[in-house]
Amino acid sequence: MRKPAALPQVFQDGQSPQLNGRNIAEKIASSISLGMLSVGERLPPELELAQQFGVAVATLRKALAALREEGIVETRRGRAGGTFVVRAPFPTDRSVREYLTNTSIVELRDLGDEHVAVASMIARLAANRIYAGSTGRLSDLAARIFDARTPVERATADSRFHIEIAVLAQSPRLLSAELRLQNEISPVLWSEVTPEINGQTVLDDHLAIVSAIEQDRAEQAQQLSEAHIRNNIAHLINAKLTLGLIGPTGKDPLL
Amino acid sequence: MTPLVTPVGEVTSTLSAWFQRRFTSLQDLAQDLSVEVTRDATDHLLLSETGKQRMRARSTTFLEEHAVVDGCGLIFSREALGTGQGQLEWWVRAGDERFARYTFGVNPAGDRYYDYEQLEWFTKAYQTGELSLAGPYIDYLGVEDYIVTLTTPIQVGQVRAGVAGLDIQMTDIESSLVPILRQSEHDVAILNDHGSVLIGSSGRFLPGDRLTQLPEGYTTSPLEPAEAGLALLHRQAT
Repeated sequence: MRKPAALPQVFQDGQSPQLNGRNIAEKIASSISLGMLSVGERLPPELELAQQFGVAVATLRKALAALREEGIVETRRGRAGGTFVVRAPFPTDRSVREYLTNTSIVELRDLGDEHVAVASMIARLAANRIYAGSTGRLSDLAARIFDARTPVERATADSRFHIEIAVLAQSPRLLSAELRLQNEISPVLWSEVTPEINGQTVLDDHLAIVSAIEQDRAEQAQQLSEAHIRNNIAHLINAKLTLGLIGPTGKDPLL
Repeated sequence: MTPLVTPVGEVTSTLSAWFQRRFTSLQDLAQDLSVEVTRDATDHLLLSETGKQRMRARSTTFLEEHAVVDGCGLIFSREALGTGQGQLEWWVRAGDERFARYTFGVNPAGDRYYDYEQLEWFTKAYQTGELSLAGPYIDYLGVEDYIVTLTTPIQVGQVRAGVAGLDIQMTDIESSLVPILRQSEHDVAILNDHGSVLIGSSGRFLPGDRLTQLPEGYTTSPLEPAEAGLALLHRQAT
């Protein structure tokens, strides 16, 4: 049994002072798609959530109603009642295609540059900051990608692994950056729209990163993370080009 | 025998023609704009109000006719201006079919001074007297985009006065040139004169990455115009 939600960092966003029901619904949905809240888990009580977002309970209820309508959460009455996650939202094929069409090669490369900067330093810090016994979950989380059967499960497992390294790195700022980057990259990477990624390669990458972290090889952990992310980004760029999703410019290239 | 030579040759000539057209149109623009500039009694550059208006008309027409170009105009050297401040007569797109003169920080004492005389796109053409292509680069304090700039030197009264230039956003380089590169069977990329990738046909060669050596089995073929220093990186024919 997993512990009932130490609250996901995604909920604690100090940068959005004017949250409305729609924004809150999106934030909750994105923490679910990232695996910060799993299917079957219960959301914290309404009052507690409302306080965390700094909004009235009525506003929070609007957000929950929107999520119910999308079939992402369900509210059950009674003693064991509450609001439960029933479905991890995943982008539709159409929205993945749109994303790849509207994101240029340079923008994808730049996304990769930022992700390398964040994730490779996270791996380095994790190697420096772990202590005996604190990496127990990491190998389990790395292996989950192998058992994952659907794109949603794979994306969630992949994100969850990288987020755990960020947790071990003990930098709230880097964790928050990693969450944002995973949220943007992972669903596209694992979507069925893009050519299938080799699960075994990803698993091998993950396990190699885990052993570097566990064996206090900070430099190597950093290099392995960088190579891992660069491969993922090359995969996305190749997917964009192979699918012919080159942005509409309305411009005649001969001009 | 693999059918490599013909496709690569075709890609190379299509690309050369594309860049050649950009530079030819730039040289025409440079000619038309620089005739509006004269020299005063002390030999410093002089630009009348009516001259500026004609430059605006010519530049906005240029942008209308060349959809891939994001900005264009003249940039003068401080030496030719004879003033402490720089001067740029630069026009950019400001939305659909709208154009605006772009203002830069030209005061060397200012916080946001655009010290363009130190930048590659200026120095190459101004010092060598040849046309040049600089980028990709982030034009910080300039138009603040990720761009490529094509320049050619300008003369006023037999003396070099600065450069004429045009900017192309990297997103437009991508949408214009990737379809051409994708015609090639294998991974190819356009390299600039530093060996940095301008744009490639796959995730293997990414914009901005500088290749310290050619990948195994690869070679380059120069693109025209030769002064721009561009080359196509492609697999060696076996």
